[in-house]
Order: sequence, then C-alpha cells, then structure tokens
Amino acid sequence: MSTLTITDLHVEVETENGPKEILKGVNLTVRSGEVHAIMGPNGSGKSTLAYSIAGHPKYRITSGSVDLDGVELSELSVDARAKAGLFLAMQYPIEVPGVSVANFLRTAKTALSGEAPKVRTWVKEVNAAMDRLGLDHSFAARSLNEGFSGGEKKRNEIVQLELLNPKFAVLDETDSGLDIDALRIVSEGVNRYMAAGDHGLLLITHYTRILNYITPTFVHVFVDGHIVAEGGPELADRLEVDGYDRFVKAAKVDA
Amino acid sequence: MTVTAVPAVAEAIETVASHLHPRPSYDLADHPVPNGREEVWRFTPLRRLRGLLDGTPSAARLSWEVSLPAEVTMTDISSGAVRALGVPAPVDRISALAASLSAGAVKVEVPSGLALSEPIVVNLSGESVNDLVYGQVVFVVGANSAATIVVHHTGSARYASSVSVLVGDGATVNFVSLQDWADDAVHAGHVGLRIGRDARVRTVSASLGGDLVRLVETAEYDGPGGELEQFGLYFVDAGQHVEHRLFVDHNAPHTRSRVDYRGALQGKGAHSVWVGDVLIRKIAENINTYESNKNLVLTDGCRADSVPNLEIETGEIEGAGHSSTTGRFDDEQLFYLRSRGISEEEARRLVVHGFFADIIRRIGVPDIERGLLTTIEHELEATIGAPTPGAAGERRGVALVRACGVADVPVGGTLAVDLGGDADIAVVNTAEGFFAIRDECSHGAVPLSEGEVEGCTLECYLHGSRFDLRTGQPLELPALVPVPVFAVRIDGDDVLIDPDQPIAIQES
Repeated sequence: MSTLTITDLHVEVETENGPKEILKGVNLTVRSGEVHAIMGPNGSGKSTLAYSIAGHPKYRITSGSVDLDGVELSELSVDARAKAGLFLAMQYPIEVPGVSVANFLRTAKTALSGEAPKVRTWVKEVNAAMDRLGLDHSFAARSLNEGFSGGEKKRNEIVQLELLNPKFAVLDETDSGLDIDALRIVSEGVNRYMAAGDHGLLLITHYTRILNYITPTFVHVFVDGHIVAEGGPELADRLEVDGYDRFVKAAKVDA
Repeated sequence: MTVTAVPAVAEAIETVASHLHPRPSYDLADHPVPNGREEVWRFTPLRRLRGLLDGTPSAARLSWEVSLPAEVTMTDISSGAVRALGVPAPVDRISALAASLSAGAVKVEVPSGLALSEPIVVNLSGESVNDLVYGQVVFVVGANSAATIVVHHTGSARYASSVSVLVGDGATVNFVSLQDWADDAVHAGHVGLRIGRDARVRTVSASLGGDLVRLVETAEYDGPGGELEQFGLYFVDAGQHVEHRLFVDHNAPHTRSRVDYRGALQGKGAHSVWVGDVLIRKIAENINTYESNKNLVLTDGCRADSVPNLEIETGEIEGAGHSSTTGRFDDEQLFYLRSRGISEEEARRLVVHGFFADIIRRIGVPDIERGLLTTIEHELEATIGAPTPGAAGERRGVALVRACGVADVPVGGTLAVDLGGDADIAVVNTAEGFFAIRDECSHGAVPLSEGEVEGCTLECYLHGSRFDLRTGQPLELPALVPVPVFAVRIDGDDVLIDPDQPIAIQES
C-alpha cells in the first residue's frame, strides 16, 4: 500500500515579467488502487502539476510538499524521483536521436531495478509489451520517439509504463491526439498497469472520453492553479454536459 | 575510366567562380603565404601549423599498412601522372605544397565494373611530430564499381596531405577518413572528390586526435546525376583545433548533395571550425542540396565556429538549404531520460552517443564503427566522468578482457570462450574481422559456435537460424529473437571483449 500526498503545493515559472505563480495551493492524496482524474480547461495548470511532481527544472516549487510513502519528492533529483517509484507519461514525449528504444528501455530498467535485466527474457518482455500496445517490434531499433507519429509516441509511453512498473504514474493528457482505436489500446494498457499491482494513477485530461475506458475513483476539477471541485465519476458526466464554464466563473468570483 | 583530364568543365561555359574559395591551382604563386586575415585562414592559428606553410622540402614519409582486395592495384606515380589523371587541383598553399613536394603519389585503383566485398584499408601512421611529411594519394574507382575505402591516420607527424578520389560513372563509393592522431600531431590538407555521372558517393570524415587538424574537403561533379552524402564527426578536447572546410561545387545539373557534420567540444581552448559552402552554378539546374552542422558544447571555455554558405547562380533548383546549431545539452532530452530513472551522467552519455551514432552507423565497416564508439566513450570520461565501475544499475565503461588469441581462430572459424557470464561467448573470425556473439541460439539452447560462418553471419547447425554477427539480428527462421553481440577489440595478438556489455542494437 502506497500513498502519494500533495500538500498546499505552490509552483512558479520564470517569465519575461518575472516569476509567475501557476499552482496556487494544490492538495491531493492518491492511494494505490485509486485512479484520480484531474480535469480542467487549457491553461489551468494541469500540466504544470504533472511536471512539478516529476521535477522538471522549469518549474520551481516555492512551498508545499509532494510526499511518496514518507519520502519528500521535491527534494530529490528527477531520476531519484523515478527511483522512488514515480512515472510521468508526457503529453509531448521528447525525441532523442541516435538512442534506440531498446537501449533506452534497457538502460532505464537497469537504473530502476539496480541490475541489468537478463538479456533474453528482457527482449521477450519488451516485444510482448510492444505487441500489447500494437507497436511493431522494429520500433525497438528506432531512435527514441524520432519520427514517431503522435499516437506512436503515446503508445511508447505506455510500453514504458508497463515495463518499468512504477508505484505511481502521472499521465499528462495521454489521450490527446489519439484516434478511437489508439485510445482504446492505450487505455487497456493503463488498466493492465492498474490491475498488475499496488499502483496509483493521476490521470490528467482535458476531455472526458478517456474516462469511458478508464474508470476514475475520483474526479477533481482543476481551475486557476488549484482544485475547485471533487467528486466521483458522476462529476465527469456533469462536465461532459455543462463544460468548465461554471467552475471558471466561480473561480473568477472568488479571486 | 571516364574521368577527363579537363578540370572544371563548367568554367568553360561560364566564368562565375566561388567568392569564398580561391581558384584551385598547382602554382604556388597562386597560394601566397597567408597572414591569417584571409577569409579562408581567419579561423586557423597559423603558428600551430608548425611550418606546414613554409615549403621546406622533406623526404619523411608516413608508414603505410594497406589491406587491399585482390583486384585492387597500388602503384607509385609521378606528379605529372597525377595531373594527367585530372584530379582536383590544390585549393590552398598546404595542398599545393603536398602536391609539389611529395615526389609523386600513391595511386590505388579499382578496375571498372567490380563490386568489392571487402574494404580497402590504408593505415597511415607517423613516428614523431618532428617529421615533416608531404603526402599525395589518389584513389581511382572505375565506372560501375563499388568500393569502400578507409584511410586511417594514427601516430604523430606534421602532415601536409593531398588526397583525391576519382569516382567513375555509375560507381558507388564509401570513403572514410579517420584523423585519429596522437595529441601533438598537425595535419592539414585537401580531400578532393570528383563524382562521375550518376555515381553515388558517401564520405565519413572523423577527426578525433591531433593538436591541429584542418581539412578542406571539396567535391565536384563530372556529369549529371551524381549523388553525394558527406558525414562528419569531431570530438575536440582542451587546446585542440579541428577545422573542416567543405566546398560542394554543383557544376552539373541533376546532382544532389547532403552534408551532415556533428561535433562535440570539451575543455578550455577546444576550438572547432566548420565552414560549409555550396556553389550552384548556372548550368546546375534541378539540383538539390542541404548542409547541416551541429555542435554540442559540453563545458565552458570552448569555441565552435560554424559558417554555412550558399552561392546560387541559377533559380532553377529543386532545393537548397542549410542549418547550423551550436548549443549545450537539450534540457528536455535530459529531463525525459532522467524521468525514467537514468542518472544525469548516464543521460548525457546516451545523448552524446546518440548524437554521433547517427553518423558512425553510416561507415559500414563494423570494426571501425566499434572503434569509434569506444573512442567516444573514452573522450566522454574526461567530462562526464568515468562510468561508475561495477556500481549496480549503472552501465559500466568498456571493461575489456582477453577472450583468446588472434591466432586461435582461423578466418571462417569460431571458438567458444567462457568469460564468466551466464553463457559462453562465441568468438568468430570472418573476412570482415572478429565478432563476438552469445554462444546460444535464441531458438533453442544450441551453441552457435558449432555453426557455419558465412560472410558476416553465423548459422545455427541445428535448425538453420542465421544471425547477423554485427547486430545479432536473426536473418533466417526459425529464430525471431536477436542474440546479443559484443564489441571486439584487437590489441596486438589478443582478442578483447567486454562480456558484460552487449552492443545495443541501433538499426535493424
């Protein structure tokens, strides 16, 4: 049983006009076995939340805490956070020319587990994970994300999720840009990950459609850098009908 | 052989010349001693050329060690004979001196209509930086032939070189030049390509060692339809000066060129220069060209000069462009890799490897590809630090152990060795050199060392699965899964292998 606890998280970025606060006090607790959907309009700070948890250098945590089973993640380097059990599936996975997917996966697995995986069983595992996500085995020899379509990049993120098997995963708009078949395949991968062990999931999304495939335990509405409403899956249904307007207006009145 | 003796055919048709390149000439009077302010010399620290501009005669030679396929001839020819071949004329004072003071040239010739299965390898090494050496080499590849040519420079000298590659009509040439000099070597000169009609030429130029390396690499076409790809890599350390000046003269229509040079710099005073110039003459309609130079600056105190130029004399072109980037590590790449648990050092190492692997894999000679990757690993230890030896989870540096003696495995033979891993390793000697592969077929638990060697492949005796020894990839059923292969280094009489580090498969 693991718990990711985010407490009063404030985050700023550097802009031309000086520092700008993006996250304005986020509170959230994710226990393993739970799927938390974070939903909000563009510019609400959802992706900033994802990057801040993972430790992207562009985002500065000014106060608050991100705690994973008693370990303060905000004090750790990016790779140490991953070693602590965190995984971020990115909205725009980065291309790394000349580094093959196979080499990358093996290096990451070695770093996370502390020993090199047995070559033969590992190759089989990689191929099986690619099969499940509908990626041809030839992708193993290709440069990481280079020349991949948007959908292929997202599938590759979920291949990594399944192979690296973290305690907690943050999925940053993994559904965006996927056609209906890819969305189903990617969702099945996420569901397999959740079923495979003591895992927790933070699912950041703009749209409700991925929630037709991945059932959230909780839905949080994210506006202007913090959570403004929380509920069960029914909250997503209301958002589908009403949109974010009501929450955005309420946030403006509060401000 | 269809190379004509008339240089610069296009100049008979038009008089426009490059604004950036001096007229090629054998006459030393056309190449006065530079003062360092000239466009073509302004980046070069002239004093560090250590007399290569002076014209002091010298009879010193580099020592030659040559591996020639049977059909290839090597002969000494006179300076007059070199000119009669119509090689590209010297482009600067140093190459003019090399042409006039080298007392003739060595000509290596591939007859027409012959596809060589083995590379031509010319190892040139110098004894001491006290030796002033003028060298002239001419490679002639006949029409419709195919050849890989490797010129490998090691040791030390002050070397003024003139190298020409004459590529016949319809020929395919892969020309690799490695400047793998000792720290104090000085090497400057000219590599001139003449590309026949519909010929396809790829060059890879890798400059890793030396105090100063300055190469002018020119290309011109001997008819329409020629295709040129030029790749380069350089790794510049503290105090080193590495300069590549490229000039592609599109002097014929329907020709193509693509240039991709990449460098990494580290340490105080590391200086790289890349000047890429493409001239598209009026006659050169419907050509396509693109040049790119990328520099990765690993530490403070380095300088990378990168100057792409295009001189366009006709509007009727298919495409022309260039790009140049110089920068530090890409933070987003490092973040992505590190977010998967990969340490910062390891992430940097991966990115640099990747940066160069794209170039190295074009060489097509497995021994040389492996050697370059190993060299780059050593270079990186200076900045990024040696990989933590034995640390759990970290990829280790190259830890080579002796597998066997070179004489223990005849060409076409295999030898199973136990290096302490979870399986034996099969050492395989082929016409293309030594390889090492895990001694177990991926289809069944069968030792591959019992199988048949054919070219660069090894066949499992039991079910006939065949594996590419360079990549470990299965080529024939029933095996579907690759077998790990390992880097091999020959050190004197010994075959060395790193048994803990299979080569990552880059390209199937």
